[in-house]
Amino acid sequence: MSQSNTTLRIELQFSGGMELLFDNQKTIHAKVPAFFPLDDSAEEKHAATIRDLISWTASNLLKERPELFIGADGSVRSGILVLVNGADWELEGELDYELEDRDEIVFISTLHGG
Amino acid sequence: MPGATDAKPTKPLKNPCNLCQSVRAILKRPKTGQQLCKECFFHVFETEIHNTIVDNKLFNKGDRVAIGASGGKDSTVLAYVMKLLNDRYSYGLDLVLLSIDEGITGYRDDSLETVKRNRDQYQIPLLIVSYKDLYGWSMDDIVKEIGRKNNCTFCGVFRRQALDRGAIMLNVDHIVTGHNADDIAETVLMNILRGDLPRLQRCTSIITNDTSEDSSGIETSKILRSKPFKYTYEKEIVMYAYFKKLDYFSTECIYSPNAYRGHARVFLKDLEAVRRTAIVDIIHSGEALSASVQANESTKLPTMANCTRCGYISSNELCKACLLLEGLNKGLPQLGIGHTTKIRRMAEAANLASGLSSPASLSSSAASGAAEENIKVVTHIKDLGQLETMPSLDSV
Amino acid sequence: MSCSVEEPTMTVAEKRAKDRAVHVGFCCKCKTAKSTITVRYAEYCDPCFLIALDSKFRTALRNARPYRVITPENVMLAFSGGPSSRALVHLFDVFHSLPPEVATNKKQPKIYNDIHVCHIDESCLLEPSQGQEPQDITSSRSTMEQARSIAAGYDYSFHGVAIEDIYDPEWTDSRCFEAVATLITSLPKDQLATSGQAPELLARIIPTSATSPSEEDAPKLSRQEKINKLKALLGACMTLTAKETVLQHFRSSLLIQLAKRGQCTILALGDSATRVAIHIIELTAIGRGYSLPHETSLLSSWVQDCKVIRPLKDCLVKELDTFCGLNDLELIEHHNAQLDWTMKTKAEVKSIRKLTDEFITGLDKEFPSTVATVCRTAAKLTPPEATYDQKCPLCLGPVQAGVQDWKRRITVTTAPGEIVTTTSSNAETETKESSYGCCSSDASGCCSSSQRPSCTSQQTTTTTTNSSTSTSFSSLLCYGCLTNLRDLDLKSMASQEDSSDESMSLSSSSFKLPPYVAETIVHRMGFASLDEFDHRFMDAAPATAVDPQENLRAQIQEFLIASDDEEE
Repeated sequence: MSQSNTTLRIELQFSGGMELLFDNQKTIHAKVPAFFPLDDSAEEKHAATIRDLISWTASNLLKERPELFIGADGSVRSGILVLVNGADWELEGELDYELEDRDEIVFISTLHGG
Repeated sequence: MPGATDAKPTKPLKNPCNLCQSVRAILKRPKTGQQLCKECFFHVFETEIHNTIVDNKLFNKGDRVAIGASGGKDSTVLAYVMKLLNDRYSYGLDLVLLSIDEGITGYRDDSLETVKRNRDQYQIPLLIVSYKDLYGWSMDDIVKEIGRKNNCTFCGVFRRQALDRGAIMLNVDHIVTGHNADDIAETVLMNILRGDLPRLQRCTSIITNDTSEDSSGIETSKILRSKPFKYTYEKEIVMYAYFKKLDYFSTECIYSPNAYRGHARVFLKDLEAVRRTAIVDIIHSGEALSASVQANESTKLPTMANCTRCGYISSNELCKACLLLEGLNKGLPQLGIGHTTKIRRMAEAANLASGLSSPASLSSSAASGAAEENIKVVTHIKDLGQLETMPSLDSV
Repeated sequence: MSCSVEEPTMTVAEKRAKDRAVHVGFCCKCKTAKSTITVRYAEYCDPCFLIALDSKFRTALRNARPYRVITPENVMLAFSGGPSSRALVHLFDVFHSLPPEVATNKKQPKIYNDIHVCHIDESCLLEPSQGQEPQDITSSRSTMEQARSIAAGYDYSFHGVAIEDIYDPEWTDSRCFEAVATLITSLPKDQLATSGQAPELLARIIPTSATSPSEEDAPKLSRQEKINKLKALLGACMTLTAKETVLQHFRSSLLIQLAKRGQCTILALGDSATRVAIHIIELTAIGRGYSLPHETSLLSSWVQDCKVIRPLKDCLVKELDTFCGLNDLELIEHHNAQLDWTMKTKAEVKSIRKLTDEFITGLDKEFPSTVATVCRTAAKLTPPEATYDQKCPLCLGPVQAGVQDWKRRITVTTAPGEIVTTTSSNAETETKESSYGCCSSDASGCCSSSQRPSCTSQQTTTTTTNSSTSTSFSSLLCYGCLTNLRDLDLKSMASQEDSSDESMSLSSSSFKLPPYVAETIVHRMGFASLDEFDHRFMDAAPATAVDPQENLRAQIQEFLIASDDEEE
């Protein structure tokens, strides 16, 4: 198991139809790297942000149809709401929010039928 | 007033609510850009819907109002908020839930379970009417017969009429639906793209009934329909449901992947990402455009009569649902799709040729005719508790 | 829910064209030549294509303006240098060059008297190329001479203006409106982000130079100053959408002025069907549905004394491109300012126009009748009934009554239990707020919309009784402009409260709207001229108070190099 200073314990929640892309799992307790390489150079690293979490989630957890999760510029697809510890990510810096240990990140799709 | 309990104890209060200034904000409002705490958000969300209802005089005291309930996010929040506002402001409304069972296995059956839970949670009586009972065909049957092309046409026409039939059974004056601001903005764009000005007018008006303008033979009924969420952002509805922990069902209709509408939806969401107010701006444009239509386009009002077969209000001898049904039952599913007038003529010619000109003699109408009989029975049943327990109409 | 929407279907003409095209690969008109061009469902050979396009143009021209006109009018062709307007110039020439046998027939009336061509040089807003000083762009990349020489090739009289001349007092209705409008907000900075409602914008009319406009030697603004002002304003727009929209308003205002100067009563725009379709959706998305019929129709009579026609609105941009290619017509590269280079981050470079462009272009590939269907939809609309006198000062379009009220009615911005309070220190907005106040109050469902007077112009004409020179700007605007100005960088804008500070003139210097805006504001307020406005305001100001305008003028002098001729 990785050390707590190299991984972050992140609770991911999926709802509003989002869970369908993740094998119907509503909650995933993930261990996410605390640092990601900077611009493809393996040497330098930066603290993990939501941007990193999204691409990490897409490559490690996503089960199907990535185009329904990933949008332009490394963000989630337009129409997916993101909450960081219970608050709208638009208040938390969106993609640039730096993850902390035990953060709770929620993805809710608004694109599914009503 | 809310306490600061929502903030994580390990973090200092950041992003204070713009309204109460004392609690951590949890939402950035797309309409105003304000950041709000949970309680203030609930307040503005509910009050805006209340204002919409009051401003547009949607209801009269004592109205019996059916909430079109699909089990999805919009109608679930609508049911919750309608009940809440009815109690808070003493609208004096008699609320009922009305669901349509299109008969789509793996989709509607699950969502109807959600509606049943809502019925119990909110203590609002529920009626479920099914395509199978009304028309003799479930959507599963229809798709088996015609494939996936045009099945949405059937579903749309049938649903509209089914809601009305359900409303008649429930003896309601008014149906409220969960169409939100995003839906309306999307429909405005769609109708401009399709060149359908009558529908553009219809989709921007918050309340419609049979007196509203109509030039393309869109079938209307005497029952009022309204959209209390007309100015409510989808984002806020989803956030409201999330923070209120409302129980809703979310999945894509398995038959609905409509590429064209999908494009419009993605475009709308992209617009919203660039400018949050785009949704209400489009609605504002849609209202202005509708006003520009009135002068010429909508003058060609069709004369409304009743369908000779089922009695539903229609600008033609046969209403669209009966036409579609006839096509289904005769194995000519293209009836009623595309150029209606031409196909109607074809159908009439075919009827004459086969000696089936009298609608009553059509064996195909047996199913809907039987349903019609049952409807009359049901309308007399006033006890809604009993209504819901009736498994289906044909067992009456 | 609402999934039962069908795709646009082919038009009857398209179906016919498709049915006709039995011989794939051959021209659908002459049926003998190999086809070289496919337009939607129809295939053409080169000669048949040119004939078809020309007749389409003639039909549109006839529909825009019946041939049986008594007095021929002058027409101004708006020429940007792109393929559509280039085709417009050429098609007009073909149309107007009567065959000799007709030309000798004196009885044949002329349909258009004189044809003029005008061009707006936007080179000051082009992206500087590597190592280039921004100041050098204008001279080295100016499009004016190229446009002039193309017009000269047709023997048309040419009129040119640079986009920065929008700040020239000369480019107004009076041709000497020596003032700009400076915007300030009604809210102090710290309340801007939290108020939820867009703050009331107030305008001050600030003279740019000597108030005696009759003086022949009145100092003129230097070109660089005008460019700086234009760039400062565009810089204050925080979104690309806002920048593009404001720039478009400036273009329209200049085009109308150009037409009037050329004594033209008709302004012909080169908008293609593709452009019009994109514009229709874009206008809808930016809240300009009210003025949409005027901005997209074949013929609009909105502008006083100047009809606007779009005779190419049935031609796809692809057809016009082909037309230019076949006729070997010279185009101007970099003719339209693209502003995306002014945005700092990649995420910001999408504007509503660009999104719409991609959306319609993509949709039209999949459903080739999209453009035509959208254009037909808008063509069925009737322009709104509004008076030109009451036009929006920024876009010069029609203003719908009660737009601010509409916005407020659908939005609650008060906390639970809070009694609605006025958010403005401005007396004029307070009176207004009290009139709609009930709807934004909480609980006890109060309002019937009929009780709320709309914010129409009648109210605003009486607002100058305040001792301040500020006049409500928001209430003069159309919905679209009101929305667009929410993207202004308000935090760097002075508020009413600190506007008398020394810092005001500096911080608000980017919010100078051009003289034509100031002129329209003054007119909307019921004053015939700047002088009349000045006098009225002077009389209204309390004798004891320091004249705020004088104060402002003194401050502003430091920043306006040209206005050294202050009368005091």
